[in-house]
Amino acid sequence: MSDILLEVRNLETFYGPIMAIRGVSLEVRKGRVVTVLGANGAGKTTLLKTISGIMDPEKGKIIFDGQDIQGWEPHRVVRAGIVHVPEGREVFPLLTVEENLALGAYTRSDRAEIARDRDLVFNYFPILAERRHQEAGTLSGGQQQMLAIGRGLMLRPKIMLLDEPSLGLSPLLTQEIFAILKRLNKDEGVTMMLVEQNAAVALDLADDGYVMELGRIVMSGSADRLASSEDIQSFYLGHDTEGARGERRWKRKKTWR
Amino acid sequence: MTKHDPIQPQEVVNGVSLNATPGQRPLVIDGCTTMPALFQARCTTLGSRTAHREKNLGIWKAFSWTDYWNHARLIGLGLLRLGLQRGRVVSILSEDRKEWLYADMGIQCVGGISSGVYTTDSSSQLAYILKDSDSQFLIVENEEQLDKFLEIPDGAPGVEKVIILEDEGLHDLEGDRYVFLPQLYELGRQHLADHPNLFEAEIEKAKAGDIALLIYTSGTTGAPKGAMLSHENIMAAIEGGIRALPTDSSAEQLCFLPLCHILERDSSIYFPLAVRSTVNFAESPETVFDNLREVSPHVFTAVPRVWEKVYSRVTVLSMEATTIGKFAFKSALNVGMKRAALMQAGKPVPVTTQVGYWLADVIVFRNLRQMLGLDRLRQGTSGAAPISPALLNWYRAIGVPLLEGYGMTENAGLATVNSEEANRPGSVGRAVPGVQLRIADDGEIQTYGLNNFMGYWRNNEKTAETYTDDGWLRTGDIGRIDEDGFLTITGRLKDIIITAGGKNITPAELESRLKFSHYISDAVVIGDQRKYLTCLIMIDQENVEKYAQDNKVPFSDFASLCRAEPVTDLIRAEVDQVNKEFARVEQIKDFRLIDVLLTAEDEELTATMKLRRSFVEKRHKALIDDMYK
Repeated sequence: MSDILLEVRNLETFYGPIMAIRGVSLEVRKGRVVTVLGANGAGKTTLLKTISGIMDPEKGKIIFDGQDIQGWEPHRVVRAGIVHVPEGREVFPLLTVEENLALGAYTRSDRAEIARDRDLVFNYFPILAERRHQEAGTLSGGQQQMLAIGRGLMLRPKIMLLDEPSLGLSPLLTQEIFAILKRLNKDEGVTMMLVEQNAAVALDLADDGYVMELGRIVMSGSADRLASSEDIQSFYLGHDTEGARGERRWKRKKTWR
Repeated sequence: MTKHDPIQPQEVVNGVSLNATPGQRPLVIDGCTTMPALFQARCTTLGSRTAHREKNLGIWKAFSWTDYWNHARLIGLGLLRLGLQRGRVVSILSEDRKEWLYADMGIQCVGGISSGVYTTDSSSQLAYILKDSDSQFLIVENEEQLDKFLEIPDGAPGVEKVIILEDEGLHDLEGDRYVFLPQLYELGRQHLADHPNLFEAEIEKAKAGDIALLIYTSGTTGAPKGAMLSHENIMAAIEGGIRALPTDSSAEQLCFLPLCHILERDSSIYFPLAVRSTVNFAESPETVFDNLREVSPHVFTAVPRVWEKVYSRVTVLSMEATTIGKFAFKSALNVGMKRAALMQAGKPVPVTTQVGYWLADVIVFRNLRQMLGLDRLRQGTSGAAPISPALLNWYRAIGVPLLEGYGMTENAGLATVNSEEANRPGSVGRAVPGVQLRIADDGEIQTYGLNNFMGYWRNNEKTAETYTDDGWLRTGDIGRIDEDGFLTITGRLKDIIITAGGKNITPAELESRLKFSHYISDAVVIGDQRKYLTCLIMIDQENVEKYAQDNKVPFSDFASLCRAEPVTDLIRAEVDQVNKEFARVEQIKDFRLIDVLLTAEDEELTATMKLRRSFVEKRHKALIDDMYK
């Protein structure tokens, strides 16, 4: 398929002697939202960090837009068009909203265009426009998350890697942010790779999905297929059949099909 | 105590007194003719010695023969208090644990029939077995297993009480139909106080010909059937086992296969009773290899799948070793293989090879065995499915004595076995003492001995089909016996394929050759009434994943691994390799990979992880049809 934007092949990444990613292969097509689900410690964040160059893979390939980018320094990866919106937002707390956004466009020099993109961000996140002169550290968690996404958009990325945008947010705010992500994808055509624990919102937004467990992919398919799988329903969506007694504590075994 | 005066002259084999001539009635083991009597004799004399160990919160805890006796007695008496009648069935639905043994012996001692149900069985399978066996009681392990019982639509009205071993999560359970284990023990204690000598008296009542067990056989076609085994049947298996597979009371064992299966039942309950060995329970099926290392058993019985897993682990590890490590392992293995081959052929081993092997053993194998938990192993056995001779040789090369045996539920689990003195890899060995073998005109293996079962529970028709007119057991397997008495199994009688061209083919021959590839976990050959042979293959996930990873084959989940072209090419090469050994009409023309990762809960797999032909053929009909387009 020619419209594959990002392809990961047999990736292996280590933390010292510990193999965090044990041979992961996946692909993200242009204009799609792909989600990677998994429990804590499954290797999701490590996968994103390896793609964005913060970590180096031991083995395997990352092909982005036709180029092998594995092992590149993060700044080169950014210039190639990959933006990483990290877990826990990581905005610059002492800089203002505007300054944070300006840093997002650090690699660009076309002032007029940058200004247009900033307006675009403000259009999507009006609250940021209101707070444009406020220090980012004084924003609420949800606003910081919006700022982190907005900062990412300022690069005009070909793909955004989103690491748990729902982390620490209220269900309502999560829905709000995901609604904006959906619009960004639909209207602006931003390709996204989304790592999430909140499977319900992630599968709702995504077109395709992968499930990771212990550094491996155990299941893949369209978001609809995943959402209807019994394992996903009982382990990620919490729709458990109650059994004959109306309560049950034991977990069924996962089969991932 | 039921000590019948031995009519037969006795001899002592491995510390146990047996009939000097095996296979004779009355069959006595240390003066006992029934399992309960033997159980009583052992518990009385061994007292505070360790009978088994179980891991509790990470620590191995020992339980004595006295504990064994006391708990089995309380269960037996508790069941009597609840109204258990002699000759009625009690079903046990639990993973392996010490209470399984207590229940099994307790039930038998008071004249009940013990019947195990696989924990992987579904609610409807449980319902069938409870109904068919007319179980008076059901013993379930925990909440998860209890739920299967509760899901039975008609509520299994025949079952009077359900005994629950673990009460976790069940505090709100109400109804006098449910009894928790401590309550059962309490009932047992009351009954003991009221009737102090009742348990012993019940043991006394047991006769050699009474039904001790019902074992439901998976049955590749039709509903499962309950095979009835008498005390004498089990005693006969023990008699043969003690003579053919010498062990002694110092042996440590590991119990991890389902106790519902005759192989584990024999090797972890009944043989240890006779030889006084110590059984250690693995925590769960997932931790077997860790538990193996902790226990380092002297005697280890497993199915080929487990032996293959150990082998793949070592292979994978050796591939990831340093250059020096790789070299050392390779050279050591070469010497080991050479020595094994010479010993196999009965030729003397030259001094240079002996010295080389000694070095290899000191530097490499000893550490390897220690790492695997096989360093103290005196006797490893493999059964329940064919194992590759190459694998047997590999184990011999690294200094692990591994022997293949053969038996089935219907002959109490043991008919033939190889031995250290007479070992022929590829064969399943000679008939154990007391058992006779013959090959019928159609090639079927038939056995005769006191271990031949009493028939199927309430199914005279099937029983009649299983016996010949002169009383031999029809095993349903086909094979040949060589001039030295070694039996080689070639397939199942029922599975014989007659191709559209009229050629008779035993698929098992092809299948076991395919399985010997460590990329192929199991295979089912198809071709009955068809123009040519084809095959459905279940790949070995771990090894194929490793292959894909090493060869940069991208894959995400199991299905995509099976779809990857290099993987199909890899399997095709394995199939072609096997095809070379067979004549043209017997060759496999096409194959498909089963792209779902099957688990023990799936009907396509038996409890010992073998593919079930009929289910596989039904479930994957689309794949099969695709090969005959």
